[in-house]
Amino acid sequence: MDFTTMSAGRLADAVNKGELEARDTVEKILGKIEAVNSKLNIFSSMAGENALEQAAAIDNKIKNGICLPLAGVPLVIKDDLIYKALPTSFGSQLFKAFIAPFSATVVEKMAAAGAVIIGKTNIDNMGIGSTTLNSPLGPTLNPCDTARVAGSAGAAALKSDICSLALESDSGGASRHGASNCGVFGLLPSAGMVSRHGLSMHCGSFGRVGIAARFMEDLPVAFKIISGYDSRDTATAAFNNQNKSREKDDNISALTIGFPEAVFNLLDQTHLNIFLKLIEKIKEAGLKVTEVDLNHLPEAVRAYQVIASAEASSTLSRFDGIRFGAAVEADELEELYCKTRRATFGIETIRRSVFGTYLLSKGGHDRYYRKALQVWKMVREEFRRGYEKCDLLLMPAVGMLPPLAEDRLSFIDLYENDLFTAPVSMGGNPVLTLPAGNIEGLPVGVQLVAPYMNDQFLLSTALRLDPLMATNHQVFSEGGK
Amino acid sequence: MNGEGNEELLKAAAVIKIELNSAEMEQLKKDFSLYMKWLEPLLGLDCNNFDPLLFNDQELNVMRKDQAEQSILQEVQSCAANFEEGYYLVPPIIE
Repeated sequence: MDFTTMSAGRLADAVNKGELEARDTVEKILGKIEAVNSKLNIFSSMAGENALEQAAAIDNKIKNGICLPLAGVPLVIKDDLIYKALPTSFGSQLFKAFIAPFSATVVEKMAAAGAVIIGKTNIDNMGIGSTTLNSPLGPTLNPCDTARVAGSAGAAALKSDICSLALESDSGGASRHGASNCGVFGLLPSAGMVSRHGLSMHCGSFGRVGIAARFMEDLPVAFKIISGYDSRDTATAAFNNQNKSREKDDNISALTIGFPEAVFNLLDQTHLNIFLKLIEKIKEAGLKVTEVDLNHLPEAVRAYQVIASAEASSTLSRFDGIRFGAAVEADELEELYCKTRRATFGIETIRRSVFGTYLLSKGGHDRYYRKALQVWKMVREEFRRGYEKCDLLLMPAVGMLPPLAEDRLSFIDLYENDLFTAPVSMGGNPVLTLPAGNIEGLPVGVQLVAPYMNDQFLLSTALRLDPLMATNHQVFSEGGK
Repeated sequence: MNGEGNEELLKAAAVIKIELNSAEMEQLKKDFSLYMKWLEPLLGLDCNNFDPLLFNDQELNVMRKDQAEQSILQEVQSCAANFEEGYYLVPPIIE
């Protein structure tokens, strides 16, 4: 049996039934993981022998009659989620040798469900960015075109068939860019639906934990495992809203899909063609489609950047070599702070720390920061009004091809690349990223966005839309290759 | 960028305590200028009808009960570079 052709659910079923041993699957992965990693630069650390031990423990549980929903399912976790068996770098030399004394709640939950942690995936310095171009380890390359970045190393691992699931994080769009760029499926649950205990964040207002998979059908299973109240994270929702359902659930043709009319002005022709062909296909399938007023996406991405930079400047101030992280040798205290931070902060992290400090200062606060908080409220209102006209929103995930690894874009271009993802972050809505087509052989995804806390509705609807999208993935090609 | 903005940027750079050489500082000034220009559409937007939003969560926080739980202090101490008699040892910060 080859796990690469099986969903995580099917693999766990085979392990639970004794048709497959978790250890065999992990051994096969370890046999090719080095070659894949040397080509794509996916991992910041690999579990190796520890993964075999985890798998053997799972096999023992199965032999003792215990069934696990993710028995033997290979999992990678982004390197801003702490895991007590592997180092957590947060993309910085500051934490080079840091091994956390406990694991993040989501990591604990996935391990308890039988997942085998294969390794921790590459991340931008301090989690700032949506490309891994800011990682001290260098960018993770796209399995579909190694001249370009993957966006998320977890998505690259999934596309390379070395895992079945990836635990991700996302503030402005990193996990969604990755899923779109690599042609895999990603779920970012509602803000407050999944515990962030053990997640290192530069931006607490927007940082969320998500999950990515090679098969759409695996996302509801993983969502059920990672979601729910956590007493260690008081920002998780206290009620269990997983089973929230709506009357229209069983009748997909009664659904209305909205899309922002602004896409006509904001997308280039190739990306717009993919998007419009998908809209046509949805209409042909009997669903209603309507345009929705989300007219402030360009302002929203700017407001997101202002808030994210302001929060980063505050959040990262504790990383000074005294309170957190390894200090650089220095004669005086001031020198220690300055040298430690210089040695461990990347260029983009420095940029956001300086800009963020300015934005929170007397000169910047009223002019930019307060305005950004008002735009945040305005965007939230626009989403709310949008859902008065539709059940789900369909939005592009990206407006450009994944950046080339060598030809560095300007930081403004990279901020602009969050044009369709950052506004969704500001809404706190649950969002699925699904493959929708390809341009020049590179996958392009779309976001399906549901009202706040309608995660289960989103997943059940997407499961029925998935065959439609999968067909499109074959049909809607733009450009050569 | 005007002189006032330049001065504000220099202040911000000093506050965050990062060693920057003159070439890096010059680049930062250029980047800041681009950033301010990029933010201009935000300034022209009429948001007077919207109060500033402060939290993304739309549910109320639920605090856990104030109960003692099993401590992981020993494991946490293992992360410290130096730990002695109940104290974390760090470089002196009062000179």
